[in-house]
Amino acid sequence: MSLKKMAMVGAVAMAMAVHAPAAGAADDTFNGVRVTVDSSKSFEQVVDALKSLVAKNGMMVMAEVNQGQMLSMTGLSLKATLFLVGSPTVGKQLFEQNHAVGLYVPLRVSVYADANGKTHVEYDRPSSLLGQFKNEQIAMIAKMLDEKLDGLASMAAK
Amino acid sequence: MIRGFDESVFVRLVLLALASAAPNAFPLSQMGYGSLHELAWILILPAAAGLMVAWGLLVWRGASSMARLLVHGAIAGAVATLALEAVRYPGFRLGFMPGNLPRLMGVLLLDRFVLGPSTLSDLAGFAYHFWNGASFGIVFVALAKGRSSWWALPFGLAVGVGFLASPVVQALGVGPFGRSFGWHFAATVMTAHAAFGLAMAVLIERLGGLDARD
Repeated sequence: MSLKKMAMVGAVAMAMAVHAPAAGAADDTFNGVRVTVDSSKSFEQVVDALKSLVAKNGMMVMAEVNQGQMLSMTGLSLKATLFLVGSPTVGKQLFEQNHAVGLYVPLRVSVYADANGKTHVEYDRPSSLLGQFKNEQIAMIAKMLDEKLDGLASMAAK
Repeated sequence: MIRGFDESVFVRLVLLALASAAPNAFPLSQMGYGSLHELAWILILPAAAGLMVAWGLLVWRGASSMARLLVHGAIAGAVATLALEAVRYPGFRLGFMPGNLPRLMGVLLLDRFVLGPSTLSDLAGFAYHFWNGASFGIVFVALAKGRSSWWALPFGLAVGVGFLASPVVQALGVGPFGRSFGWHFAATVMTAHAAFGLAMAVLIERLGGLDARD
């Protein structure tokens, strides 16, 4: 192998090492802001409230992943539902700026009952996830989405 | 015959209730009273069947004029929806609307929002859209029986205002009356519903007006 080729291979190997975590090391950093809203209501009541309040917060339930039902097939007894919420209009504005927002949009809101039966509404604040795109328009929309989710979660849990 | 009981008022109230089901299903779904997919099975389809039964009963009871009015209202409303589309669709293509509503209704009806539209969902969405037109036609004849067909124009405008104020528009993320989307949204909706009302008025007149004496 010529010197020039060896230098190129070496450079590529170094670049990969910089970007890849060391083998076996867990990446335990989380750059989002997790919001948990506790509720004294039952799981079913919070789910119903969330579905009825989504529109008031300018969004729609685009999909519902009933994780409790799904996991019942494994024998696990669980009350948990993931809601994908958002609005096509806002989604369009975000995707126009950067298609990669698709990783976080529609927004994810989880409603679950913990081991003690207490219900929680949980989500990652959109601005903390979408800030990585370093786009002013996305940041502005994300801030608006923060307010919508904050409002939705607190109203549903109340 | 029960003393003091006005059968024709009762009939009109029943028709009103049955015909109101389909147009209210979408707002109800956005208020959390079930998905549109669920409401299709428990509200839209049963109410449509109920209207057909009501028509059959009217014919059987000899109330042929009222039965005819029901059919005329449905036909006029469905055909008038074409006039609405003549405004809505270009408005959407020009960016005056936040989305293509019949296609959205289709994915909600078939519960495939995250998959996006398909030919079948588009069919379902447009069928629902035109059935809503037919339903509003029946609502109009039930309300305006005996009056001038031209009341269909303010009726169409009232439907437009109702839509703009409904939870559907809020759920689209454009705010009540679309105020955070732009004036062109409300203008397009109102123009489309004016076209609907006007077309319905003309059609009902052509079909014999709103007189029904049985």
